[in-house]
Amino acid sequence: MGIDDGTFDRLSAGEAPVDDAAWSGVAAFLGELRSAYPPGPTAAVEAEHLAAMARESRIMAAGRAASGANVLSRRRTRLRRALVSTVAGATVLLTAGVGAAAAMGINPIAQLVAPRIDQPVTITPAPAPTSGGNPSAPDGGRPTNHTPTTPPSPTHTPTDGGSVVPTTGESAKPTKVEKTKKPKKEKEAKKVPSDKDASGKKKTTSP
Amino acid sequence: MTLGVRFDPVLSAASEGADWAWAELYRDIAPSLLSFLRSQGCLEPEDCLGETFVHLVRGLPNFSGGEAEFRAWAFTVARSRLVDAWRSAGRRPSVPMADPEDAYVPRHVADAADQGLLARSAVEEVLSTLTADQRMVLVLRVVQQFSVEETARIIGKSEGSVKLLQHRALASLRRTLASRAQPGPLEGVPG
Repeated sequence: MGIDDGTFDRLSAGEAPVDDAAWSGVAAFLGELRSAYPPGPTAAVEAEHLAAMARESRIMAAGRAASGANVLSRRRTRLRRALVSTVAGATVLLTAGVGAAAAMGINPIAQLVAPRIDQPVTITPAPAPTSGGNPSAPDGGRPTNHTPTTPPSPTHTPTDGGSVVPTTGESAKPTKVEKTKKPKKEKEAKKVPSDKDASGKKKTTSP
Repeated sequence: MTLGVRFDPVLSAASEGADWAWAELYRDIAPSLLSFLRSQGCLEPEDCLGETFVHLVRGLPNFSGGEAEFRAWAFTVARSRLVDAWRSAGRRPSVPMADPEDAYVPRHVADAADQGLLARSAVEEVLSTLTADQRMVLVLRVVQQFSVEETARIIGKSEGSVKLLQHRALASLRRTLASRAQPGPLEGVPG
């Protein structure tokens, strides 16, 4: 068989291949096929079809007008949804963060508020009181002889309202450090009075 | 189609709902569509034609292309309507058409219109030996002059499938015509 496109086109045009007479009948038939189906008369149904098309066109136009209004409201709805989703997501994250912090034993709220409250309390215990201050006293020695470069001990109650301003730049975070260090220093401070004095000499003191 | 350079402005007006534009498109392509529907054995080709154009109105916002693309698209929609009609009728187009000689009184003197009917009857009798797809490819390629690519798009198959269908259709025709040994379908017709 093996009819290529060119041969097919010639057959369609009614031209039979000269080297194969069997195809002449096919070529003739294809010519008759074309004449058997001329363009059909549509005058009888044209008006009816055009009326149906006009109706459909009106429906489409009305639908487009309605969808234009819907598009605007749909945009607003989408914006609202996006906003609500963002707020909800942020709330979830915040809650999760607070929950995680609480699980780790950290009071997140206290962390936020701590610098203001603890500022007055960021007092490191003064070095061995040379002026006779009692290290074992709750205040760890009045800061009167204490040089302003070292903040007072955290046990100092802020009654004087400002004697313990962290001028050296130590802030709430150092407070934490201070807090963690405090026990050591306190221990050391306690140890000092218990075992040694400031010069390192052992004392025979009761704990 | 014969709109030529007028096609773009006509299509643009039709997309905006201009009735005159749709009338122009209808008059330009409806006759070919009707011929195609009849060639495929559609029981009610005029109804199919009307449904085709309603679907064209509905689908025009999604159409983009030139005149040739619009024509191919129209035939694609017509084919879809045809398949729907086949399904609802519960029959396939390969069933031979009724003998047109039954449609008129035997004493009637055959005239040109009758000869046309008879000629078509003979052609349809031969076409009935083909499968529905072979018949459709043959009509689209030979009668409607669509390319292989356009035909593939209309019937929803690949170009290779279209070529295979047309080759098998021609081979089947060759066998059928050789077995009938008909020198010509019009021989034997009185008058």
